[in-house]
Amino acid sequence: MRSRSRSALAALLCACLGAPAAAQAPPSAAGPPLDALVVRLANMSAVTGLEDAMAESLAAALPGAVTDRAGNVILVRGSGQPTRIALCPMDEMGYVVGAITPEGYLTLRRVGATLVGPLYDQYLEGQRVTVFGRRGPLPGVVGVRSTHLTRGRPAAPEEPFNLDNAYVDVGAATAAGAQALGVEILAPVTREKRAHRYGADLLAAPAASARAACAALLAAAGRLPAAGPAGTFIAAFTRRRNLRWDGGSTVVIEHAHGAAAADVVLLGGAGGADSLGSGAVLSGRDSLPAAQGFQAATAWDLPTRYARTPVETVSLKDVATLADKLQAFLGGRP
Amino acid sequence: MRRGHATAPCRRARGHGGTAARKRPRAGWALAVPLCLCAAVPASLRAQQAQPPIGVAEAREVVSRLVETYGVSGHEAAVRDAVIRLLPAWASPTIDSAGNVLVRAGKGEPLTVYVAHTDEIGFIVTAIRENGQLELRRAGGFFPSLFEAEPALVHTASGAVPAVFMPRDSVGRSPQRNPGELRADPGTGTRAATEALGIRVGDPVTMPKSFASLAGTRATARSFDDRVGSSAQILALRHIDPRRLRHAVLFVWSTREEIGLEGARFAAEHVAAEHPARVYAIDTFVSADAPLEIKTFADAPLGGGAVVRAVDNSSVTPPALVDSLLALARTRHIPLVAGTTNGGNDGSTFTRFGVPDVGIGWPLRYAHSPAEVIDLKDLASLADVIKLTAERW
Repeated sequence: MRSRSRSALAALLCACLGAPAAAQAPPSAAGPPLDALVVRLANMSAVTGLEDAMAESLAAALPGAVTDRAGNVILVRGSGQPTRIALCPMDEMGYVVGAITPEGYLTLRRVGATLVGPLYDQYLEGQRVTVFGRRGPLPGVVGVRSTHLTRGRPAAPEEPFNLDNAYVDVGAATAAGAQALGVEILAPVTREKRAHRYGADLLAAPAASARAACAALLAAAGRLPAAGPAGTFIAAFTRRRNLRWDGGSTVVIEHAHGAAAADVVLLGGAGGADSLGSGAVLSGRDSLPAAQGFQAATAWDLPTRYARTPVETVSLKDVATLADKLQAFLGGRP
Repeated sequence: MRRGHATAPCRRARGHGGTAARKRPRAGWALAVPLCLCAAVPASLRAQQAQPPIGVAEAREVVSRLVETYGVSGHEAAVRDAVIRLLPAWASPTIDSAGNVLVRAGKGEPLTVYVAHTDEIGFIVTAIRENGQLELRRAGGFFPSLFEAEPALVHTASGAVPAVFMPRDSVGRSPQRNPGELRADPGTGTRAATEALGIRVGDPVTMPKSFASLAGTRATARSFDDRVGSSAQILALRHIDPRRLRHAVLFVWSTREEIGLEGARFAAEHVAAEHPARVYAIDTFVSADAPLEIKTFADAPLGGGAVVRAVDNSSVTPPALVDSLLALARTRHIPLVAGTTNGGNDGSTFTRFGVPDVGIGWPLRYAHSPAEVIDLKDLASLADVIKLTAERW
């Protein structure tokens, strides 16, 4: 899966950026390539702290990008002041295998410190998941009681589904059978990703807002000229947002601290839904942990409907606006 | 649960026969059939007629096509068409006014009937709001929480329109598992825009689905109930030589089972005059072979073969028939066990006409969820059992 994802993502980015600048359609008219890039990223998985496959794909898709000591994928253009940094988190709240039962079922442990709602784990119940084992991704399902067998029995609990009742069924009948498939404790697990287009330009997927923002940044970074206006421009795809913005903090400490003037933009937040599809990007003040305190930042959020659910929804029109805005911020011409 | 290999079927059938015959108003069908069975298949004939079992690869090919076709109760035309496309060339399907697909084969009495249903659970649009959202009601029994905040498809007259099942408006201070009645959002914003997509009150709504192989011969998809039964009937017909049948058989793919056995009820009323000897309800055996189930009954293991659904909420198969069927399978080394589970079956609509209902299924995990799991070996085994009963019972 990894090599396929890498090459496919690189090919998509090439398609998005490949035309000569003069012949390229105006960036504001986001065509199918940017949409396809959003879909591609939305279909990928990157559990917090376990983002290697996503990082490799992003690095391969962005020539000139490097991986820093925190594992972030960053592209630096230009030099001197001012310093402008756009940070997009590549990770998502997810799960790892906590144990393998004698019957071959996998139990789960949630990964990430971000607070989730009371229904977050319930959205797993009775759904398909992907287990990223040593031999590649495996389909599985999270078990659920059959409605038939509850009849005539005391009513089921009314509390939301609990992660302690999540048993992943990969088709194995024994623990050894599961292990033979390449599954082991700590293997990442996410919902099966299949981005869902609906309405005129809407896209629904888990963590759609962050993935769409990263697609916008990827597109904007790929369009940057080799030599632009004076200054240092950094596009960073960061790890472990769901663990105190760890990766983003490393970027800030290394590139913003000591800079006379540093503008930092945080991407990936889920904004309110009122302006969904209007082509707007929501702007607000934010900050993130830095060496000795906090680094002030500006948050650019995509309007988002049904945030933090499996059908978190963004508008591709808004994503195109964000890509243009990022391109201008990073020193390119929108 | 009783396992076929551990049963002494003929002895058991005789042991229960006298008592059962006295209790039944029509002892003839109940007693004569199993006794005939035990006597009718000498070893030499069994060896001569042995044929290779139906394979997992063919089972996968058929069921994957059926399970990826959509058909909420009462909106089953696509499934009906798929069934017809998958039938062998010799079959001459007809469609009755209830939408059931019927295939007859063989001649002579007694007639035996097989019935599997083509519908699946889902939702129906009941209203379109001013903001373009769809109000829904459930078609069939299931936990609505499994559909909350999931992708949706609205099946309109002109094709499927993507939407999403909306998350509940608020979780409140005491979150509940059940979201209440769900709505769907096609992403339009207005009623007019929704209607412009072709969406109308009465349209069925489902979650997108696909077949996926799991480890070994396991597989997952939504609506294996009862596309597996429908597939088993197709597979059996593909491997039956109709010229060799010793009596007439009727295969029915019935409509609207999930909302009250409606298609089968219609078929039963029209077939009753032919005095069928038996009806085989080919439907899910909801199994407790799953991590969250109570295993006091219904614990049929996946991969263990087909299951005689001897007792459920709608019918009880006469024990003599259960025993003789187990014996028949045993002669051909076809895995078959007997057990009890919950749910109703289409065959129960025939019993008021004096037709005994022999439910045969396969173990299914997580029934009526988007994550149903089967073992394809069980489907192949089920098809083998159907073929065997049509030819030899």
